[in-house]
Amino acid sequence: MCGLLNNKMRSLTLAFLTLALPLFAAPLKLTLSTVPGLQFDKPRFTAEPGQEIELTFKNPDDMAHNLVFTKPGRRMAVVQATISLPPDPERIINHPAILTQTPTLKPNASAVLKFTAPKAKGIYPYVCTLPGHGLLMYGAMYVGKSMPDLAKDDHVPPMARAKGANTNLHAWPHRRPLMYRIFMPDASPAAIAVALPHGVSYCWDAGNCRLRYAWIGGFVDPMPVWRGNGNGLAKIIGNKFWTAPETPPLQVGHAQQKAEFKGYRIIKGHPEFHYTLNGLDVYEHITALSDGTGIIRNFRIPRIDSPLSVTPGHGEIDAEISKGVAVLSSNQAKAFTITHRHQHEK
Amino acid sequence: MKNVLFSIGLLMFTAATQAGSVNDYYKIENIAAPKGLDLQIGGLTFLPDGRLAACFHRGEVYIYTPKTLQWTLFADGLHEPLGIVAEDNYTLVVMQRPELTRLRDTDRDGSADHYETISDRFGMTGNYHEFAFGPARDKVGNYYVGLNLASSGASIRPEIRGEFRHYGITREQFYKNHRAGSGRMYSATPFRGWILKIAPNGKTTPFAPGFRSPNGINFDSANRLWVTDNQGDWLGTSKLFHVEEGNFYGHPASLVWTGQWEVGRNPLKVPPAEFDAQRKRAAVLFPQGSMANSPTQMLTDTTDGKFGPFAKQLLVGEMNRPRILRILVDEVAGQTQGACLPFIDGGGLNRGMHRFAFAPDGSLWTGSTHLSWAGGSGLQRITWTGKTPMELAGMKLTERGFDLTFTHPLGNVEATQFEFQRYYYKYHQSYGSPQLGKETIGVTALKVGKTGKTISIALDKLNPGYVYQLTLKSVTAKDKTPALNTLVCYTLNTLTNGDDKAPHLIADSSSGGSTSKPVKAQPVKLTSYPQVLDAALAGRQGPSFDKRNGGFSGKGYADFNGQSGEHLEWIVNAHEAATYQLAFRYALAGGNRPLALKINGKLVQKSLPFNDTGDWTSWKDLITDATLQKGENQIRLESIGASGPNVDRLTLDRH
Repeated sequence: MCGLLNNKMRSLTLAFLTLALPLFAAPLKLTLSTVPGLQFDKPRFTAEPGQEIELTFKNPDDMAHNLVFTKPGRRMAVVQATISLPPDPERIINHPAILTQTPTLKPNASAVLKFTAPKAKGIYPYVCTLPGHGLLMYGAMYVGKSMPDLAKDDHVPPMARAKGANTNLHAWPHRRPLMYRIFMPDASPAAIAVALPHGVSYCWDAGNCRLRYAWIGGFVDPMPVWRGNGNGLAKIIGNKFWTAPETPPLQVGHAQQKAEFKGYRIIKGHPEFHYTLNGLDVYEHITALSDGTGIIRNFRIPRIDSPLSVTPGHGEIDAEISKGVAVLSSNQAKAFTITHRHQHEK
Repeated sequence: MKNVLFSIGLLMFTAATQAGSVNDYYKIENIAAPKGLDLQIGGLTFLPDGRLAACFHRGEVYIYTPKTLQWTLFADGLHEPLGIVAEDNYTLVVMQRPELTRLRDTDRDGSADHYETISDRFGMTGNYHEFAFGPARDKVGNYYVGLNLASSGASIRPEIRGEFRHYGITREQFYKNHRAGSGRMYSATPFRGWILKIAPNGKTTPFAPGFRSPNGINFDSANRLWVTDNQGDWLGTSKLFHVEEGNFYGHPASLVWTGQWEVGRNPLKVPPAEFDAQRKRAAVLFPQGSMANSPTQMLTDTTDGKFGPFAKQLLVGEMNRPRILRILVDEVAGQTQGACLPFIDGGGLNRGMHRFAFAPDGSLWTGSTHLSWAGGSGLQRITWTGKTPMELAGMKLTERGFDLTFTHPLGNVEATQFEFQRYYYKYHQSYGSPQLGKETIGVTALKVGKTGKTISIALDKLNPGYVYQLTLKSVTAKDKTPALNTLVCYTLNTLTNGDDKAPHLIADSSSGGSTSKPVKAQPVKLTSYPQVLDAALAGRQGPSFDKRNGGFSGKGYADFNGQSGEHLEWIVNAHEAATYQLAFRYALAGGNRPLALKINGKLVQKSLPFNDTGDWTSWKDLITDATLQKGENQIRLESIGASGPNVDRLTLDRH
């Protein structure tokens, strides 16, 4: 795989080469890898103006990604322009703001991108332009410019900034799954936040026994709560891709329903929530989809003996949905799943 | 000059020798913990197998093996756990903000796999101050937890758990402007301000109301339940209560959940006398400033002498100082009351003494916290060296005074070495109370007992409703060892004849009367501008004069006591009639306490908006204009139903 430069850029670089050759720094060799959860391992790096760059792009993630360098301030323009493109595994994008790019890499593929840093000092974004990725999966190449504190750098994604802010939250290395009972936005004070593998996270509310929302990206910044006496909310790092409807997700019969939280068991690091609906035991175990595109909610209601109405919100369930409600037979209701996928931004 | 320096040096040296060091008697060591762990400790307990379990600010529960110095993570993800007890080597029960939880290691792999909700049957508004403390466990396995009130300095969240009820105001109205509805610490959802009893199976019963911030909750070896509470509104100073089912312990916000409270009735509008008649007074008061500002967990010394000479006595921690206190319990006419005194003070002790547990070897393990207030962090171990300090070991009320017991036979003593003072704290909705009615009490007789360890003291005044403060002056053991701690405060609620009447404890807020004597203003001639007039120059009817909260200027500040009808008045002599700028410097920790401004008896401002400054030590100017006449003028601030701020001074300026 070789580097691709558009013609205009190539001629500019050549002109610059002949004029200022003696000032050039040694070629820059670096590796940039993808990280599950729509991130690059390096949120930013520096280069000298006109420096030769040999960048090895690796994709150890379990989904496809690409790497596109754009002109300063044009990341979102490129992202917007590519959203409507049809899926094309080998695609190369034509856009005037693109400096250089790799094709789309499948999981575990890699590519080498050889290019010359622009001679104009500036902050050049790089981004994965696959649908839905561009809002979170990006970084910045600082050409001839010094970098500010990571925690204050607006050119890197929020989760990278948060990393800059809190490096050491516990006595163990960061891990997923990870669960915090903590004050969360848009939930009752008895909220629970869970980080799953593949960069998906969700908020489950022990105050009313239901999943409230799910997001993709980083997890949460707990410091607004932990820094002081609890007078704050944890901050979500990433983008919400699913929010629960107002209607309770499960309704047994037609009676007014009382939900009581009973706790949870840890199954392979993931909580399986237990609550009762009018005394009937319900279990909900949420895992990430293996391709990282969302979450799957595994429900168990072992002792149910009447039909169950399910309001999944925007989601998939193996039953017919009519007016937002799927009615399951008592047999079906003993074990069923609801899947919520990361929707591509329009 | 040289001589002066020398003698100062000598004095300091002598003082240090005389006082002795707590480390002669108790060794204090720091316990190393895993790197990266925020060592703010919410709970400590020893498992039956001798390992230590601790829960931390960021939701972790670790188990520490003292023999191998190893830490293992048992559980994580908890929401501000503030107490922990062990049911067995594999089962721990923690109180976290939203619930009482049983952590079970069912597969015996060393970490909890089942987080079982024992009870979450209480409300949460999301207000940060709604901490949840405990659990204490009784002999048959029931749990007791304490639920904080919400802070009037913050609102509720848009979504809450549980029923909302607040004196006829809707949840939406309250959320938008909580100050309009709270004013003081509030209980907008059940059962904030209560002690709850929770059976092992989760059955939850409201046990006793009347608390503000019941951080410490525990049983003693006589199966008495003790609860500490923190100075603030309705608490003139911090307290230790002996708690029994159904009693009311003084902070009225929680009474809205008794089932008998008239819906919509605001406790802040009820005369304190009504609550005073119902409340049960604290067994022990901790004088603010000298004893404790934020008392924490109470723990009985159950070591049978392994931890020194104070077996069965109660220990209580303190947040603001590196200090653990001792409680000397006294039973008088069927009532529990007693004294407090410093026990381990300094000597390398951390601040923020929050949680305690005795190890099987009789060493005391302490955990600190701060939660962004005064305090500290870290785990420490305290062991007794085997040497017995010269200390007060018992204090009992008699018909005429007190019987004192010491750990060693006394040296020669005389009456002047036992200096008694008394004072009281007012029961009112204002934040804290100054020490009122302070006076020296004479020792009329003194008799040392046969063993030489006891002494009977007769006093010239003995009345219920006072703290009797005793200072030991150069009291030593027979072998000249000086007493290690010399300040002790006995809370006298009830005399030996059962008399507990103490009408002086309540302010008559409806008439504006006050326990502070009226003070006349000292007239001041205005000469240059700006001219500063200290609160000490003002006349007072109601407000007391105080200097406990730092940052004031001049001699001190005026502290409004009752709700209305009190005033503060400066008298100034102006050389010409003109419009003057008036700047009132004041502090107010929370809420709004508007005052009326009257000039020469005429109402010129119905409601001067004294809004909160964030703290009692944060002073701000409230500026307004007023026209003064030539000659003498009375400038009066008058309380109009919401008490008043602490007023430091008035600055007059010309435009």
